[in-house]
Amino acid sequence: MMITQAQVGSSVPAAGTASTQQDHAPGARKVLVIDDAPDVRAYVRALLRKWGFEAVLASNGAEGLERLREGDIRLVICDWMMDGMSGPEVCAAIRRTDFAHYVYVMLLTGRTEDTDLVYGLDAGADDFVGKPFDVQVLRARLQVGVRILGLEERLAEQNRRLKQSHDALDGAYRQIQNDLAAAARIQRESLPVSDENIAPLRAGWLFLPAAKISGDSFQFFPISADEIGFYHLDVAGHGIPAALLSTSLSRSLVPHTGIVQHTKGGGEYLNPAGFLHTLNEELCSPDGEVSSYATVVYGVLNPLTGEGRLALAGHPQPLLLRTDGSFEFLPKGGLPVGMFDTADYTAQRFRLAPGERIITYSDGITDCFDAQGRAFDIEHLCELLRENRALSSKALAALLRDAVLAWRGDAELEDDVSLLIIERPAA
Amino acid sequence: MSLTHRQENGIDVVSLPERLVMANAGDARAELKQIIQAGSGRVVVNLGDTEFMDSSGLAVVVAGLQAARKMDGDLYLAQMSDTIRALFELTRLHTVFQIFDDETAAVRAFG
Repeated sequence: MMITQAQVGSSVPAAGTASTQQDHAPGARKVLVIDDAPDVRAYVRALLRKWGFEAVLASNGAEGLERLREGDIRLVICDWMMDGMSGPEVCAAIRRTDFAHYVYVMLLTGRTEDTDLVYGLDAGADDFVGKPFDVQVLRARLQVGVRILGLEERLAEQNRRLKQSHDALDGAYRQIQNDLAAAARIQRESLPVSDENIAPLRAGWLFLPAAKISGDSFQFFPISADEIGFYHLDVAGHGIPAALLSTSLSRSLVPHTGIVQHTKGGGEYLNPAGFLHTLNEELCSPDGEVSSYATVVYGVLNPLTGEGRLALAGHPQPLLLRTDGSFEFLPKGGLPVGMFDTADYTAQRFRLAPGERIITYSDGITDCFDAQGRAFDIEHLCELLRENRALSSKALAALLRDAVLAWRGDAELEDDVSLLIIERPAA
Repeated sequence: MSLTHRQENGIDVVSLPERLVMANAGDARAELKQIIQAGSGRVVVNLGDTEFMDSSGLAVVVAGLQAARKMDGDLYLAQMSDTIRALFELTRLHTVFQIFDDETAAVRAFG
């Protein structure tokens, strides 16, 4: 190989690193020189060191490829004409290998015909330096390679960071979904499982949360030898904050788990108005400004006589479904709990004859809109209850559930939907 | 701004947005409170543009009333649609607010 225009002594600035050291700096960019001519290898090595690169030498293609597999070299200067593998064959072999990073390959060639360039490019070469080569041209071309590799490395780094934050978000999202599913499970556990605990009364219910977890809650339970208690509540808003408050309220509404019993005595559960009064005081914030509030119906019922009483706090009026299919709306009650500490509640009496039912619900069912923007509304609800009153309460609730879902169609529910039916069976 | 606000004879007249729901209730509540506390505590909330309000929206109006009353003022409601009136009646909140058919009557009621 002939070398002309050699300018080994030229005082060009370093290109490999910022260092101008004679020998390569620690961490200097490595350049693999593949050439079968020892004098060319030695000469290019001298240039590279001078420019701040670390030169790694190989005397043929196979040796060069072997060295590349160690993975620490990204820049290659390769002769075209060599014994064994040619330069383009080395390029093609590099492109076939799956390196963790891009390998930039410059071919040294005496050929200048376009077809040869195309052949080299097709094989995977990035650039060419003609032989005999101008030292300044080699240096400038190396700088191009360094620039492109720098760009590639920055992109790879950005990709890595993006992937990292994407993975982190993905993980956080999965965590939130898992937490929500767990919260929904806990909430469902606080809902009725069966109506055995209030026998001989029967019950049916439906529960459709708007956002997986719900601000609605209801339950029934024995409170004394003679009476059962029941409640239905709807915490303002929906999603997690509403569900948290709903769950904590549920705890205080059920005897033996609640706080009220310990502070006020078990008799509180027999007095719906007093009970709501206590609940309201608990929920009203001391600074006199509403933070969370809920609408509630709380009632007690004697299963044997059908005599009951209940108190309402801003909740939709419970319905009494008579045996002849007529409805009675229980009177409206007081303000929602958690708004005004001056709110007052009064209990209302009602009576269920054998075969009659009391139905409580949240406004999520009557305010459920179909695709045309029509509300499910109370008349529709009453009609379905009346027409299907021969069904068991459980079957009736299932029918209403299907009716609400069909009404809503494919759209997600905007508000939590819940309904509770308590029935005094016909003798 | 999700609310529009003007003053008339030292009375703050505020209009609420078309939909007052959980998504914008927080901002609306902060704005309303700021308006009330910067004023005389005498407030008329015009619901004429408001077509839909959920339970979070209801809390905005209640918080406004509480802020006004804390300043020995009051908050009157005007021009509510039938849908919103039904919501106030359902929650019994019509018993704590003075409700007027039109804004002028509400403003005049402050005397």
